[in-house]
Amino acid sequence: MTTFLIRRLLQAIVVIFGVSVIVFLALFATGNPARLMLPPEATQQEVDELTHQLGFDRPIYLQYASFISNAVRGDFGNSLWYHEPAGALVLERLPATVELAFSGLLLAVVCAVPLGVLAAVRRGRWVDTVTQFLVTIGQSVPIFWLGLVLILVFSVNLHLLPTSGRGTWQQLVLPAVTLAAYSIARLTRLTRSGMLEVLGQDYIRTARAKGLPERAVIYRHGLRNALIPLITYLGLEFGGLLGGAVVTEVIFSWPGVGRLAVDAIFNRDFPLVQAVVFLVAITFVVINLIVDLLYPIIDPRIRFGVIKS
Amino acid sequence: MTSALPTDTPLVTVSDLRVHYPIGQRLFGKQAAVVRAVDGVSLTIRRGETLSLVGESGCGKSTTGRAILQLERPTAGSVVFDGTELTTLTAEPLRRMRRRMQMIFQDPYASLDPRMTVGESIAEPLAIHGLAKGAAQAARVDELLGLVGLSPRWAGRYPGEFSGGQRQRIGIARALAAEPDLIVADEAVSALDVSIQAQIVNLLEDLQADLGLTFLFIAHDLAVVSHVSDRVAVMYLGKIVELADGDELYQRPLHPYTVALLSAVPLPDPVVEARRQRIILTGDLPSPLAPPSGCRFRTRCWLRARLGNPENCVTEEPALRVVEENRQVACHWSAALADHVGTPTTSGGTT
Amino acid sequence: METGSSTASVRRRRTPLLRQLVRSPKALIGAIMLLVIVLAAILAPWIVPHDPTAQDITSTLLPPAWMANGNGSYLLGTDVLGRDILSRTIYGARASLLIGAVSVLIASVIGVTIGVIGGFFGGWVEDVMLRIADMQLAIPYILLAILLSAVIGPSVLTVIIVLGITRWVVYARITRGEVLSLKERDFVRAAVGLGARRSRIILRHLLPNLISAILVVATIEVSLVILAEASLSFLGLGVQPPTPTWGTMLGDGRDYLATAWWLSVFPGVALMLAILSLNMLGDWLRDTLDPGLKVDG
Repeated sequence: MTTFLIRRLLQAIVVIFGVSVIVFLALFATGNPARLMLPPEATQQEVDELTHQLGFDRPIYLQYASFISNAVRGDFGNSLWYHEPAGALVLERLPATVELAFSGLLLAVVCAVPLGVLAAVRRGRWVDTVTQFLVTIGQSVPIFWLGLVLILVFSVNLHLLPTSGRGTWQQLVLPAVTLAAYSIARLTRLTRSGMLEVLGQDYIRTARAKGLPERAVIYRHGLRNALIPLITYLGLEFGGLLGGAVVTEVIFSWPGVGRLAVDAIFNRDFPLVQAVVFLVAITFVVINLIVDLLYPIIDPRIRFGVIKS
Repeated sequence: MTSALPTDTPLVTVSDLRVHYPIGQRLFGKQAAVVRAVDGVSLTIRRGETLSLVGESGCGKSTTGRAILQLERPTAGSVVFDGTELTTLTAEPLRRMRRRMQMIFQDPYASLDPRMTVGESIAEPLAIHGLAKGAAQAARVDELLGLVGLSPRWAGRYPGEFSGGQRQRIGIARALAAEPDLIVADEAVSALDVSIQAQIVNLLEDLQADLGLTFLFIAHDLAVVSHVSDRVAVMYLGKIVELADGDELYQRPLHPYTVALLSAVPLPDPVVEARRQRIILTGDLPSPLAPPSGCRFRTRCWLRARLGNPENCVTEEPALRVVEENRQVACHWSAALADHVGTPTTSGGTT
Repeated sequence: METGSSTASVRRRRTPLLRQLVRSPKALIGAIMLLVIVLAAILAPWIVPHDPTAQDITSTLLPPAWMANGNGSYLLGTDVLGRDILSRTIYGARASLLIGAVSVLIASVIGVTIGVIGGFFGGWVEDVMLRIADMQLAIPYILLAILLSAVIGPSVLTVIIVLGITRWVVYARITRGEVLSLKERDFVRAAVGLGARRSRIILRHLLPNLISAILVVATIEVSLVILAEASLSFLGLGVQPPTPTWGTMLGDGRDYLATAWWLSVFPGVALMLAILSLNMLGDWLRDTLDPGLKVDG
């Protein structure tokens, strides 16, 4: 068990370093980053000056070394636009994004799991067919379009909910629903197939043969086991939600890191962009690590070494 | 059983072959547990003979067969094929050597590429080793199909269109294509229906007679093995426990494990069968991760129980020794065996 | 001599794929929808009522023809520059499908190659491949695409390159998984036993058996790529004006949501139908060809 924990931790650290390399190198995709920060009409002399000023003329490994040593201390330089430390700006907005992503996830789980269980238990009947149909549609709806439509219906026409900002729960509703839609479809489908697989097992038949009430069979024996793979999947899904949050934040003017990143890109504020991408990636890695570390607690098979992880 | 008398130099000489698999996760050099699938096997295969390797599931016989062919690289030991040491061959020489040693696999459904026609599969060894091209290749494929009792018209069909027995014939045709010296039949009939088994076994016998092939026949069913073998080696938990001529082994087994195996083979004569004393092995097969000390069979050995649990079975591992001409046994007490076996357990070599 | 007949159970593949497609309602609907969209994209220059980039100041923000103030010649209305929404929507299909197809091609070639090499050779090669895949997956995909787009500069080519380079991971993972299980299959062992070179094993034995899995993944990936491109264009980081894509149209229409809903709704519907049809086809392909396949995303 401890071997597994240590390995997993090391893995996470390696991934974070990898992410830092990717984020660092992305800036050099077109050559000299200084050129990107200046207007196209800038003279070669201005470019050279800025290059030297920002240290882009040093050997690349030295640049990376200073990048990473600063990054682990949370120092990403100053935002070119806001003239404040980029790291601090990100950390300021990160809670908003996490709140949004988490609400979306919660909403998705609350909707998807019962729906998936219902579809699995009533397999083949109209509930199942309708659910599958909704799932297919749900996975095809683009997030931003859904957001726009929801705004159109609930804000513009019905004046029920606000279109932007953060603070009241009403302001959370539309963004969370928009974000959750895709996840609901995905998770419903996963829950359904997971439940179907579990319900087909012999031990379910045994439980029924023992005379247990159907509800106990489904929940105590079926759902608990079907949830196990689902929980690991939630970690990945959270990452997807972080991505989806970017677009959602832009649509609803939600003050999170996604919107910060998009604005920063338009402002050519690369230190800020780097900070956002790096910190979001770390959040994702950490969350997945936690899920992986929790996994043995949830799945007794791993705890007792029946399955080699 | 054989047509060509075995010549003097063995075709294959296996010495102290070991195949170990590390399992579990290692962290920075911490030693992981080791599965000793094959743990010191030595045998020879003479030209033109059929040597059978038998034992329960998990005893390492299939692994031995694969290790001899270098389909799994042995952890230790040597395999000399017609004068060449195989374990030290590098990739390219080994690849070329493969032409002369082929394998027939257990699962007729899995051993043929579902996306290649039967003709393409059979022709593959010819293509790989550049033995025939174009029209000559097609002619050879037809010839091989005929050899195994299938119609050449079916060369363009896919494996999915054939039955299990037919696919196994195709596998045999493929193994024969490059004119190998040695064929390892790894449980080649185990997955087939009993009536088909007989057909395939007969086919193999005929082919051996006609083409002068050498067979290593791996199986777990003693009834099947008795029909084809010149010599039989019995394996238990990664080691050979007895090696003898086929008939001799059946009439007068010298290892308690062999006795138990033979007693489980049903006899066609119901009267003899009813009167027979059956030896039943108790307990489970020990884990290859931690084989018993001394003699590996001791935890299930009926002879040991009858002899009052002698100590040397625990402390000393019996070596495979030549006890008579053409007979090797790995047991401390094989001499006492005859006294403790009741009525003869088999009615002869041919069943 | 044994009698020759297909005594083996007739496998599914004996029935041609096309016939099976017609039998499944889900697949049929998806296929027809997709066909319509593809045809519309190909025939666009000949079927559009107006030039999608032609501006008409006199007819800005006209509602669809069936509403009040609507103009019959602009069936779905016009945008703020007087450009016909219907024409632009049809042309949007071109950009989306083109980008989708090319990106998927690039990503699949990269991903399958890496996956096959990693799965086949194992060892440190495989480990490195998996680590890099993890690293890339740790960054929410949109952020990476945005980052690269911003650095390289938005354009159709950029979008194709970015999407092609960043989406190799799913192909690599699936291919690696399949190769790992194929490696253990007897016919691959048999090929080794016959003396086949590694190149022969990969090309003749592994790849043909991988195609169905790759096809399933690729179909669903096209829908995801189209969605990704639309997201990028919506944010302004993808295809640049005046080229119409569904994403840019949705981005433009956002400011006029209250007053001119048709700017956003129609391209959105088209986008959704494209994605839906691809998903339906992809699901059916997976159910038919390779039910055990787990596709991430």
